[in-house]
Amino acid sequence: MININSLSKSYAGIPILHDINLEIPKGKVISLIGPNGAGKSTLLVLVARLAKADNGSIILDSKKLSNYSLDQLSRKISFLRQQNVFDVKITIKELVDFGRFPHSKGQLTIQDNMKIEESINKMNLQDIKHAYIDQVSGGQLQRAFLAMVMAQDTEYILLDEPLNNLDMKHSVEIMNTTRFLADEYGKTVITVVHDINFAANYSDYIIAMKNGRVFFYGSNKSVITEKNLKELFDIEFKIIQDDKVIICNYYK
Amino acid sequence: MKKLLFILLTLLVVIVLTFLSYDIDFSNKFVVAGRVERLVALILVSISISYSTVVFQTISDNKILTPSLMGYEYLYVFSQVLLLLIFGGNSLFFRSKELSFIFASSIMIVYSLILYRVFFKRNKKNVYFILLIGLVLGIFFNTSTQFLQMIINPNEFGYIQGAMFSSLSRISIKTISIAVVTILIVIVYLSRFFKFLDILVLGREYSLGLGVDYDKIARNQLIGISVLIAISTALIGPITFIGVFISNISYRLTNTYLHHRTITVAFFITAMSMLAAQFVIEHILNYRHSLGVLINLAGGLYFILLILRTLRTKK
Ligand SMILES: Nc1ncnc2c1ncn2[C@@H]1O[C@H](COP(=O)(O)OP(=O)(O)OP(=O)(O)O)[C@@H](O)[C@H]1O
Ligand SMILES: [Mg+2]
Repeated sequence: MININSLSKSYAGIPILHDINLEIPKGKVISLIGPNGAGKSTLLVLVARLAKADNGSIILDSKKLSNYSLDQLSRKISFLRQQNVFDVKITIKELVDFGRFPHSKGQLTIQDNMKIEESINKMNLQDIKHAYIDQVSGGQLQRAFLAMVMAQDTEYILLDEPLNNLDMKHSVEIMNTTRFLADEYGKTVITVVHDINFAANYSDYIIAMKNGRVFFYGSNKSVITEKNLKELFDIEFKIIQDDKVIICNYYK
Repeated sequence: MKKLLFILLTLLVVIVLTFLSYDIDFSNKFVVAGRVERLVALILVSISISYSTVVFQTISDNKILTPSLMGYEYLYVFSQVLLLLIFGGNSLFFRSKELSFIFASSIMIVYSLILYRVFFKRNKKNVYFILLIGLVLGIFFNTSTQFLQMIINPNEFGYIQGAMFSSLSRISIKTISIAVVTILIVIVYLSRFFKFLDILVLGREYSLGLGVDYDKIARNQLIGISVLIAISTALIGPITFIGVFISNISYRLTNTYLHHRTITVAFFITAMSMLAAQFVIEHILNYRHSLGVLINLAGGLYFILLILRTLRTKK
């Protein structure tokens, strides 16, 4: 469980996050939605401890985040960044190997190799695993980084726009994978999603952010309403629902 | 990779043998010893340059900057002038090669750490801006040196003048032995961090995410690099400009992010070019030009090409 208490953060004197309070349960898929610049990435960066908050605290499984050693944390939380550009000659397989570093410290064991293999297969990268990351398509690169994060095999997985650059088929597969990770492996996946329909149909909980504040938070059934979405994004929504899916229509 | 190493090794051996034996009278001990000394000095300098350039580029996250472009070598000379001014020409500090070397290394370490804090650590970094800063700092150290020279008395002036230009004439058995020991210690110490260094190519955030203390590793490496550059500058003067092209050729040949490979190949290329250039100077140009001139000429041309190419691909 992650407890976030009156968290705030500013960059160069400009407040970005104001008084964030959240209690995030374990073993669920949680989508983080909201307009550009709302502070979603900043919140994830703080939870991954890649930057320091100005005020407030984050408690991870009843221990303060700041009390974890770097080594412990690397086996507890993994993080996929929003932008992944590297001018380095590294292959997809080598990248996924990196994901095991917190466990292997450079010496891959049989278990490490099994995890690596599983992640590569799950992300459909078997055929291109020896390609250099600067020579694959945007979607393939995105999946390569997801495979690295999966190989890291942490209890908490933070994904910043994992559907970036992905076609519909792969988007569905990634969302199914997050469900699989939560349901089968008990992982907690917190993911920023811009496509509201993926968020609405694949997650257990939804956190909506606007202007650096939590706008609403709850189970997806309870918070996906026309009124909520309209106020969050400032556009009209029409919700079409049957017993299987929920479609938030904002076209035309 | 094996094939590449084999070719490079063969080439280097051929060059070394030619360098040692071309047109030589083996009975003249003085000449033979001189050549061996120059050979060892150039090999040592090649180790320093290849290691420091490749790792410097990993830490500053770019493929254009090199220690020499950031003014390191001018700083070395500048530190020698400072030493002279503060302690005087007759002081133990100035006379003792070891002490003055430690002094210069310390100054360069401090400089590295400041560079890291101010420029490299930041997320959004503009390579051209840093390059400009390096250029300005280099000019600053250089002109300060020239300015301070005027205050120095003429006898001491000669010493500083010597340090400003690269030359193989000032090497001796003693300086070479000190260099060998220092380089060994530094490389053995630094290579313990190789597996972490390889992860640094993913940048600060992913490194931290994988449990690697990016700042600690980067600082350790920078300290080592500073000492390595100080050694090569102390041995034969400002010469590390050659790093600009050897690192990039090495990246192209090796196609990998693994430092033990890129550094090894970079070493072979450096050693071959230095020995070849020195050979040309000794036997074809009859010492009319110094090693520094040739290296700067080749390095400068390559650097311009590199900038042009990156400018074109950025568009
Ligand atoms: N390192 C930084 N320095 C200065 N300002 C920053 C920094 N990171 C983020 N910001 C600012 O904080 C605000 C929130 O940014 P953040 O990246 O968290 O938004 P986001 O919700 O992830 O948006 P998007 O959907 O576009 O990814 C923005 O106004 C941005 O300009
Ligand atoms: Mg974002």
